Amino acid sequence: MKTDQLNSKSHNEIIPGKWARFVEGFRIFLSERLNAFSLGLTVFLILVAVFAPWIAPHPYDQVNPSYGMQPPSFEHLMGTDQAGRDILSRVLIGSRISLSIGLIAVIIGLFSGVLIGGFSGYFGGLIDEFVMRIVEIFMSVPGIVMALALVAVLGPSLPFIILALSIRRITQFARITRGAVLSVKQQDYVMACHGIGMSHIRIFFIHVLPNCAAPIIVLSSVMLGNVILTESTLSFLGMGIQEPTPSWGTMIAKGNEYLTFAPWVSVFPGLFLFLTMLAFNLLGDGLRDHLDPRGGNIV
Amino acid sequence: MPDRPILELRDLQTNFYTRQGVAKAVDHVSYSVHAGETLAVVGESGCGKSVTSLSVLRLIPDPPGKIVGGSVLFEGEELTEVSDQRMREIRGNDISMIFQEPMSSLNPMMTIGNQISEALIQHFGISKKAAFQKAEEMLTVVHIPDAKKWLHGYPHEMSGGMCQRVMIAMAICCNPKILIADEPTTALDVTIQAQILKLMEQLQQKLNTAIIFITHDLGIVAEIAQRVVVMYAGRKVEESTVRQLFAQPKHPYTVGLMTAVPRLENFLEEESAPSRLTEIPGAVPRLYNLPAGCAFVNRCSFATDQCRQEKPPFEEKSPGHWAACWQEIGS
Repeated sequence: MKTDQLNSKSHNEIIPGKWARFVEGFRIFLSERLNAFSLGLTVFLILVAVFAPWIAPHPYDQVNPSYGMQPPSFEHLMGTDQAGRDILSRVLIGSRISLSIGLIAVIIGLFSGVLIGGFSGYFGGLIDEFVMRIVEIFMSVPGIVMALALVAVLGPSLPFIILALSIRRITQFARITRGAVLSVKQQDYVMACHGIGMSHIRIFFIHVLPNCAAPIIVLSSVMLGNVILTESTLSFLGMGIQEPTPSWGTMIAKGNEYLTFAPWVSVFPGLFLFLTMLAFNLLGDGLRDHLDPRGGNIV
Repeated sequence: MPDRPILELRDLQTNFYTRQGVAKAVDHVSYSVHAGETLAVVGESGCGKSVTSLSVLRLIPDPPGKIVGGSVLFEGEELTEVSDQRMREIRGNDISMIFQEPMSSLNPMMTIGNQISEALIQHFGISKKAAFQKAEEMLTVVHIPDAKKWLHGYPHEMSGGMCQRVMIAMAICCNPKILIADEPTTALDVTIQAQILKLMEQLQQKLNTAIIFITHDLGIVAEIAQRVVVMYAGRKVEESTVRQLFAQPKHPYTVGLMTAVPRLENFLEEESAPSRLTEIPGAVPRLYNLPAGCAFVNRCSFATDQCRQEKPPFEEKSPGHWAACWQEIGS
């Protein structure tokens, strides 16, 4: 017994509970200033989107033609557009639309992509070849062109825009997951699971997928920013959210005409778009460094 | 032995189909183990020891590997033919395996308690709470202090020796009839090796488990095994009791293995300077193109023309002692 005690690395060390581990990992994550900044910004943007109708000083569709193109003032903090609508209110409501489209498209992409790519990588063989060739076909077309084509055929309504945006996410998630599964299924512990008689389905969901989580989490965060940008591009090109529903892309496009004498019409939605992209991309980078075991902090 | 062996391999053949050709990783290997007995399988790296045991559990990745012939009888049941479902019931429950690398054979994302209880829930269908209780008991059995705490620990928080003990706990928690230990002590340092071996011996006495011990360490063989099978290039070259093997090895490969073990006495003798450790020249031949005769011929100092042309039969050289060699070694 004596030698046992010498061998055990941390005999007197207390094994932290699940919650304590999470808190500790979170603390390490936040100790990086950039991470704290990006997480704070993300939370701020989400809160703004959730409470937009209550924060917005004016109704977003209140038209006041005689009061158009006003520069920022106390009454209208970001000025008004050509129809005299309050830009701040429209930006706030627009953030709801952008964030929810981004979230829904990423969630659809995440679930279907992870399942398709995961099964394809785990079981391999002909199915894998088949699925991956299809994925490659989708990836050979530039994302924005495919989204444009789909919306042009199906019509620019919300469900179709989300569909157009999520198809590409499915292929991206499928590829990333497949790659991760291919490396995880070679691991000794997967063989050990077979050795104790576990079924394939159980091994796949309980042992293989959780070990692929890190790249998937990082991709989700980066994708969220990406989808929002693509949606704004679609709207900018007139194939996205239609008036009078506010969308950052549409607002930037409309303000484009007045950029020389009324820059606030497109600059403020552009600023919000920029901040959103910044927040999600920095968050993604931070998560990648944090979740990478070579970085030192294993969650 | 009068009673029937619990596991019997007959002419087992496993091939790997690769681009370079067909590698006969297991070539007509037969051996058997009885309950409560320890059989050691010895050989260099790449001799087919591990593949043989993985074939028993049908864990060979297919493709490229495939069991192409022979039979594996577990209590009279033909394992090469049973359904995948039945095979899963046997794995972990009746026959379980301890893997080589303790650190990488545990899932880094899962707590120790969860991993041990997996097998229990799988085979006995007990509740998670009961499984955790049993897991704690098993950790105590394998001498892990503060078992209750470690149930919630992760593998990266443990030392290699502790991980190996967790692996053993996982392997024995369903009271298997056969335990296949694939170099369980190779990754550990010598003091922990001794503990692990002692632990396995205790468990064997308690549960009357048959142990197939795969190793390349002859010291360990002498310590724990009753019978030995020596493998070379996918074939069995010698089989006997431990005592006979060490007293009178009948195959030049076994002789080579034994002279390659450093002996403390040689260094302690005062008159003679310590002699240089002898090694077996060359390496295990590629399995794609084995020589026509004996596979060991190119490394053997006794080789003759007959050895080069004809495969030596596996024959009984003295009672209870078989070897595959044309020459009369050590008699």
